[in-house]
Amino acid sequence: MKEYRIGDVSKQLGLSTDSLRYYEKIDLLKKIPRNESGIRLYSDKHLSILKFIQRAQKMNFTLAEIKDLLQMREDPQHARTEVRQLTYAKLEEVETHLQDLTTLKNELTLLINLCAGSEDGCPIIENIDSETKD
Amino acid sequence: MNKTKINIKIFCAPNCNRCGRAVELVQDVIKDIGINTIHWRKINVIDEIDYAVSLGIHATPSIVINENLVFTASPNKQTLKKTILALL
Repeated sequence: MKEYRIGDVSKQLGLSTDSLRYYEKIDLLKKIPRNESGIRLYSDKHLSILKFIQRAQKMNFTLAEIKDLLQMREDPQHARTEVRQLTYAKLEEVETHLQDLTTLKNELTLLINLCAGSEDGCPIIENIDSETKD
Repeated sequence: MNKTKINIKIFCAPNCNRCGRAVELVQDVIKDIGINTIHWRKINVIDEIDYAVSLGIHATPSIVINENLVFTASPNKQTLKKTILALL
């Protein structure tokens, strides 16, 4: 089993060591095992949980919500009703966000193709320019 | 006489030469078919970008027939004619 020190995890995930310690302090992460010198040793499972936390934070979920979702992630069959409901609600939020992102992606694809397909420069930029001048 | 209405929208962009050819092609085919229940409209994709995206348009020219994106880029005349006739 691979083990990672706090600095390695910090570098790998782009999270500060303070955040990593804080997550443990508020019990978002269960107490990280230490070696004889007291140095935290994270496992791949911890990394997976931390990546989940990062994704959920990008969706603006609160740490309290993430804590509940992690319970569901740990033991979905025995999760409390409220946690199950929260998970459904968050799934809906993610789906809405996904639709918005897909629409944005399609719009940007169209704009890029319009610029690439134009023989006389980029019509999008010209359009923005003319709107700015009006 | 066939009274099925067909709406064709040609999504174009400014400075897009192929778009002009697509418009000519649509006009040509409608003239060939020779019935007056086929309507067409040229749309500037930048003016109606939300609508274009909702139809799945990713490039210009795009030809939408009865609210379905049917061609991206110009088809040949025969293909366009066949597609329209199949809807009549």
